[in-house]
Amino acid sequence: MEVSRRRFFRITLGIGLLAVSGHILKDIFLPASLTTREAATLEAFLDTLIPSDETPGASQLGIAGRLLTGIGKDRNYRRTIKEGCAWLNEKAKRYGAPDFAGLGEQQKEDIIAEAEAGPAGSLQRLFFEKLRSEAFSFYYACPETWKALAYQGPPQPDGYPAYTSVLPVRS
Amino acid sequence: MAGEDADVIIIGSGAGGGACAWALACRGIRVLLLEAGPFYYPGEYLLDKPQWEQSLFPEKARHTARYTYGRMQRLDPAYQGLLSWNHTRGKTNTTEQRRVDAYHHKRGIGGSTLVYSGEAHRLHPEAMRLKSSHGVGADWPLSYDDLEPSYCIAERVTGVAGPVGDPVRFRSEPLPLPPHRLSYASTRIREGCRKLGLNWVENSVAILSKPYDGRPACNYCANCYRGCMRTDKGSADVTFIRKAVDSGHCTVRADSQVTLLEAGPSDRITSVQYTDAAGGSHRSSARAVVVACGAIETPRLLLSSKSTHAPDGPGNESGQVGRHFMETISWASTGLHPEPLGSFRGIPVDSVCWDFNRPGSVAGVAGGCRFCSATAEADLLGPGSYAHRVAKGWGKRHKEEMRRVFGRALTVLGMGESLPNGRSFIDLDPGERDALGMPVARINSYLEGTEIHLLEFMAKKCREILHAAGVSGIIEEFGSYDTFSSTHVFGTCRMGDDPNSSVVNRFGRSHRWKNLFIADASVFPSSGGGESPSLTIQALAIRTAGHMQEMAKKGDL
Repeated sequence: MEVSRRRFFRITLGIGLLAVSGHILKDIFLPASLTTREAATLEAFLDTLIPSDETPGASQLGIAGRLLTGIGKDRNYRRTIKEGCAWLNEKAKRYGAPDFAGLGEQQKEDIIAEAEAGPAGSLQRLFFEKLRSEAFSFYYACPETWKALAYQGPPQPDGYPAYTSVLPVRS
Repeated sequence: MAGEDADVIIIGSGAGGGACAWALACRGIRVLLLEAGPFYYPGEYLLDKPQWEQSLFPEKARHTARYTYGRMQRLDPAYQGLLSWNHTRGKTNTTEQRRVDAYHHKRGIGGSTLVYSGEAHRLHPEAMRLKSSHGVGADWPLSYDDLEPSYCIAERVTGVAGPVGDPVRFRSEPLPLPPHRLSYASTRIREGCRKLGLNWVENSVAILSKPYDGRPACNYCANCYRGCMRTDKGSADVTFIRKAVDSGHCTVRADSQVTLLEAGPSDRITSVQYTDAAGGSHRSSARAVVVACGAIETPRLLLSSKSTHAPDGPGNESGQVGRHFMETISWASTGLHPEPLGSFRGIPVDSVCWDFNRPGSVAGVAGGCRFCSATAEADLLGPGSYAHRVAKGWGKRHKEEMRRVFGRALTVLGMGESLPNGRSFIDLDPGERDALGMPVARINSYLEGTEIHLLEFMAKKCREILHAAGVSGIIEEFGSYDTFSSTHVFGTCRMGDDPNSSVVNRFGRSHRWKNLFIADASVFPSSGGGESPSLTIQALAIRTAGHMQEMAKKGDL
């Protein structure tokens, strides 16, 4: 069948519009919350970034929840998290595990190190950098983390009257 | 709307507008103070909340203005040592061009003094005569001695604490308050400076070292730029503007953005138009108008107010409005000290070295510079910033590292003379308008060789001081060479005696427009050698107000 140039452009334009609208619709209807599997992956990721030792780990302080609440309606960020979790779960398969949360500590660390070393601008690198930054911000805003730093808490209302002395070393 | 019942309309409520409002109102002159931003109240600041560190200063509607930037200059590989970097993140500018961080300002009652660190400096007298002494920039049309009485007034109103005796800057009366003691961290820097033969002294700051004027003394939380909850910092809202309102002669209107100065036929500004928060339009008239919006917004307003009577914008008859833009030239190095300094405590900039402040102190550079403690300026004030910028990595090692390094960062900052050049100026962006339809200001910034040379000197000296203070290594550096990041901006409505090369005269009055005055750092003919400008802005504004009163007495206003 002979296709006129005008018809060709119409078809091309139609396909293009469909693709664009599909992308927009996908974005709009991207679920507001993570799936159970994604949530478990995110928790495991954050607990590897901030594990429990003498102070609580990320999950004990509800960092995933705080982070997701902080995201609000930021669709791009939410997509990054969902796709980042998918990347982690995909990598977990090489260890024969169905998902990232099921891995051992060393395996989790190896995968996260791979994300950290990813090419600049890659999904896994963006996911790692963004979540590392946000998770630390939320984590160190929790009073439970301060004692180990010999940090007394917010600057006010007490200020630092002993500012001319060396900081007391933590017990 | 009918005209306001005011003698003087002041546009902008920062250091200049606030001081001018007070100086007029306390003389019984009725002032209408218009501010584009909102009111801020000390109880709104977040410093007593666990999440205080996650925000710098509360964001409200209209609290900043929009700007655009001209093309930034290409970076020269010869200056690799002047690139900003952090030991966890690497270079912060990975492009081949200078990048834009921000023009750090605030709109709100009090303007950028809401977030300033309270530094209250007098200019070096010789910095006001750079053209005569070094053939660069422009001389001030007034001398240090002309300004000295107004400096004293500004220091009294804001409650400046500082050292006794300055061999360079004559003062006719002592500062109202004794200096603050140095933080433990700053004593380490002072020790280092002693080894290097440098003088490291207490800074002069509008932060109360004792209760004063109904305000409490500082409790050394170091977070001036997140807003002072105690009101011990002498920001314009709790000093000049409070007193102006208390006088009964000053009306303050927040959220009121002036969009036009209306020029009349007799070389007078006849009225100003402004828009309130609800979008309502207003027009007000007064005997005089003072523009005090800062060195970027003031030229924007003048250039936006073109009319039949002022075809180039009022004040721009010489074509000088927007030219001679000068910015913050600074370098900061941060090191890690072996001692638990607790360097997040104290006042933000408690100590300073003025040894290189005099023009010509640095070989090959006309202007001077100063060095100061700046760990707070670097925003290393809580666990969050340490987690991002000081402790490397993640996992258990990161937590252990946090325990090892917290409170041990030490920053020294150099700040120096910015010189005007033909490629640094403010104009109106032809392609961008704000929400009210006004063209936005475009910042065009270019660093010439002399500034780059000064940056090299400051970077070298900051590193020397830190090493002498005992740091184990440098972990972060940030400078103006590869990043435009300005808090202090100057020069875009230059003050001078010659109407062909300046915008206002020695009293801040437009050469042509008899009732138009400017009271902010846009009138500075030179930037000074790293002094913070707030006190000089206030002194100039007080002097301008005094002149206005004299004119009014003679019937000239």
